[in-house]
Amino acid sequence: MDAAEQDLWSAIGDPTRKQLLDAMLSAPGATATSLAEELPVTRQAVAKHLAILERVGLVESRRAGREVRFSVEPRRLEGAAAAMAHAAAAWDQRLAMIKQLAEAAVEKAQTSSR
Amino acid sequence: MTADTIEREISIAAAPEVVWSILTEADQIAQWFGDEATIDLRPGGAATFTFKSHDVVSQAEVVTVEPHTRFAYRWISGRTSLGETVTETNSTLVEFNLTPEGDGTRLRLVESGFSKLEGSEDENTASLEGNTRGWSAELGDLVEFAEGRTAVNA
Repeated sequence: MDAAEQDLWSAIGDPTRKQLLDAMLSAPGATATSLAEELPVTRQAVAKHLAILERVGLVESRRAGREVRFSVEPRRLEGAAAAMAHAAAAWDQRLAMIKQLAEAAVEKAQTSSR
Repeated sequence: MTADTIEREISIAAAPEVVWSILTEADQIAQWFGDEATIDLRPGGAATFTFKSHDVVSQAEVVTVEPHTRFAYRWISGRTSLGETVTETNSTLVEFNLTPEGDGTRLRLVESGFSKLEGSEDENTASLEGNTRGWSAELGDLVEFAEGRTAVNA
């Protein structure tokens, strides 16, 4: 893992930044002002978090007239989020299978002892 | 709580001894984790997991063996790693905790260490082919894991 990857994880790890990512996913092209209205943080705090997200490549900004609009950079997010989502979904399946195997073993033992 | 940890809990109507053998015996592991398994059940012991459909054999190393209570291993996932040395930067840590719950068992799973993995993004996402869910949904999942919510299947 290089420093950039580590930054990526710590960028996602912060609760406010996760909220910002969520907000931008549902409304691409948001501004710092519109995001501050949506979240219980100041515009200054939003700007600071956006700068961090932009630095690690999770968010891209573009100027539209006097405004700066922010959107999530999907490919970057995909790399980080998809790996976790995939691993977790796999565990849901495995645990369900472990439960099934264990309970079937108990049932079998009970049947044969009757 | 870091963003790189997966946590799950499940209630099982079977005693910890029963769950333990399913977690730790090679022929049982092969029922829920890949298609074939080998395991030397002691701290530092080697284990392998074969996933035929992905043509992958994963190398693993047993970390903790506390019968009927705690079992942990590190594994190099997503690619064939047979014979490689398991380290903190090429593997993730899988921990199982078993707690008696009435006549049954509360089984807790934690997989951690994703953020310490080395390797290119291509490598890290290579095993994700076929994952058709949108990235928005995946973020939702990620947030959920990061917050440590547990999926209770029982």
